[in-house]
Amino acid sequence: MTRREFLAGIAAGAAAVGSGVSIASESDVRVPRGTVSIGFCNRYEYRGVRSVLARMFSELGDVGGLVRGKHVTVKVNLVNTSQEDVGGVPVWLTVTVHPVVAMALGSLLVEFGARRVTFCDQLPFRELGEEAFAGYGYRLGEFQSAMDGRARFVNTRNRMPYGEYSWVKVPNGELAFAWEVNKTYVETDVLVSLAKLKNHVSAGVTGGMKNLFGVPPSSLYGDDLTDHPDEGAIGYRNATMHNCTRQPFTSGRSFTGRSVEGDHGYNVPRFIVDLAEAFPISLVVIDGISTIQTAEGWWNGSMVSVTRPGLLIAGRNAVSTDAVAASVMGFNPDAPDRTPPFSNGSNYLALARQRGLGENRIDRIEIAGASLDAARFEFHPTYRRKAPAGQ
Amino acid sequence: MNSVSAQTQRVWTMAGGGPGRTGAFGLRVRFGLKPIHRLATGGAVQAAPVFDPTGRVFVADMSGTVQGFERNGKLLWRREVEGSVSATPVVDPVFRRVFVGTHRGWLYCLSCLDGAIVWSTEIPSRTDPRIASDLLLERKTGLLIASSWGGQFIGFQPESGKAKLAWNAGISPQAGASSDSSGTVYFQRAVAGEGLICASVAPDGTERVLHKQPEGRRGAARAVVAAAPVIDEKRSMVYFAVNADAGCRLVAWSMGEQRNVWDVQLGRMVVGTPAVRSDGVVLVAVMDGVLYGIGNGGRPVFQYNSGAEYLLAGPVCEPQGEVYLADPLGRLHAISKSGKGRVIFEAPRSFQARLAFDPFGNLHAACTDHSIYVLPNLTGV
Repeated sequence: MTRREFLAGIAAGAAAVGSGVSIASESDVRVPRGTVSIGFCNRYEYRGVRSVLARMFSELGDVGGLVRGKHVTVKVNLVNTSQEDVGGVPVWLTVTVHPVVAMALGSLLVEFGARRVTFCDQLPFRELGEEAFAGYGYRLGEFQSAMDGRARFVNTRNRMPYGEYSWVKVPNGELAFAWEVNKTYVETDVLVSLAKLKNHVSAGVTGGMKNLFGVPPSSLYGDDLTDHPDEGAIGYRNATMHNCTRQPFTSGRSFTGRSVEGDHGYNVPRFIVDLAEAFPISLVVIDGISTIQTAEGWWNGSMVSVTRPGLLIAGRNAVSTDAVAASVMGFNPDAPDRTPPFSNGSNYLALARQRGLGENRIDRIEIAGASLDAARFEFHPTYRRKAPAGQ
Repeated sequence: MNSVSAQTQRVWTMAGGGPGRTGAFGLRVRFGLKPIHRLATGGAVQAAPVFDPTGRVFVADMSGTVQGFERNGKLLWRREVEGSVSATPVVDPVFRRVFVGTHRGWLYCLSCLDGAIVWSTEIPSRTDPRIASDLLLERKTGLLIASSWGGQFIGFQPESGKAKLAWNAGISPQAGASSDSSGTVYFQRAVAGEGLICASVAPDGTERVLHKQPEGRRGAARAVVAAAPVIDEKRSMVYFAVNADAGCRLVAWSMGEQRNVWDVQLGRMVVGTPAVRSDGVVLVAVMDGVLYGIGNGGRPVFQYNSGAEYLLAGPVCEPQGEVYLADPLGRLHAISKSGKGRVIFEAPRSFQARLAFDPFGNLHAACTDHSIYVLPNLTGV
């Protein structure tokens, strides 16, 4: 089933997506789960990263069959501005996906027969093409050399290069009925989420699913909008998708209004699941070579510290892959709400399982490559905010 | 077997050896390149091992496991605690206790002999109570000093765990305090609207600000306070690695002149506590992957490029000036007095904790691959 076909039939409700994904038999709900592979990799050295990823993909099964002859869109976790650092250490070693991991992934996708690979995220820069990616260490020329000229970079902060947006329904949306987004996320056959292994203050951990938070464009959802959409907007989505103090400026009503104003820990996990249901991810790759712990970005200030797990994680089911990532970080991916790592809110992995998107209980997930015990690299716990009033 | 001097510790009971955190071992060492032991831990290790005078090793790790090992590597005991541990514990060699602080804000006093809990206490906080800074057992006052993200340094009575003294630790403190032989405690803190403050607290609790670095462009909330002050009592100097914006200022404060006598700017921040070599050269591991040797007046003595993108742990040294440094690529470097270095050991995963010597000069390298590698000292101590 191609992505286009899936999106055409999305009203039919949640379904298991992609080949190589089995359905677990459960009394309560049938949830897809797939093998998750863990690979040791301590350096951002292109050949080494590519070799480890290739081995991991062979363990996952038919990644080649997934992408052969297809247009693949890779949503990269670049997040926020590239003009910052963590105490002088560049963002690609701390906050964002390192370009070597992206290039190694792209090269393998091309080797497997991908027709075209589009790397995208919405970036807070006016430029919409390769210039916007340069600050994150991404050089289109180098990618083209490694990928036989089949790479493309798109800044999806507005509708360009398309003339209009796409609406994507959320079959069982809790906080969102639908998303209005750049067509890059729809005019594709395969969606890959390329994420960074980190804690997240509101979501607990960040991984393949949380990476989708970058899909809704600033032009409709951004903090720098006043009372109408603006193709020039570059702001983050705090007011619409964290604090939930206002609705986005989409062309129709898109949010249910069931969010809780000011409670990031309630809103963010539910929006993650609403995004993951609308934009089914066929492959997750997580850069856990060098990163930060305790929180997700330079904006969290001195609470974050640089750390080096020396790992890559990949899987076909986003929930299972993120669950393994959380477990590698030393956390229980099925932990109750408002306990570590979900210290400040709801467990989005458990919410996703309840919506039938995938398995988050670690003992029900098959792990290939390095064993979970050997790979475990405990992160400092996610920062615990003062609980909202009444909790 | 007591310490050789306050300056160069032989029994490393706490991070950096002793309360001055100099990272200087008291005896000459020469290492074999193959570990004599690999101590298996419960999880990744981000805290340095500590020792009692008999050479017993105590290790706390990120799985929340504390273990005691005999000198020969045999496991003595294992104890689970509430929360992961990245703060280096401290040993009280007299009463044979080891103190451990956790990320859940618990402080434990355990018996060195069997790991039994003597007492435990939870740091009160309305937000995040974690203890991320290396513990200090202050020898003059006898207080056990820890900071928490609740925002305070607290001095505890080691026999009971009762808080006796407290002062402002600033925003997200990750740096331990240090102390001199008079019982004066040195520390730094980040304060919004004020900047980075280097200060001391006298045994009677009187606080004195020694140096104030104005808030950087990014604000104090982004200034990582992670390196403990280092006290060179022989030269009456205290060194503070003060981070602001993307860089770090190494501030040299004279205890004799009671003023900042020099400082030097480094291009990236510093998170590992520096060391002081026997000739007074300050050794600073910087987040540009370079170990800097800095002499009197801030004069550069050497630079050693580790080849890693950044350095997370401070160096240690021995009396002849040989320096040892572990990096996040899993490599252990030996660096000569002139700054020429070589890799002497490589582990499969990152080193994020400072190296430590046992009383016999064996080098303990705490690794995130759930191991402590012990390199033998071949000098026959």
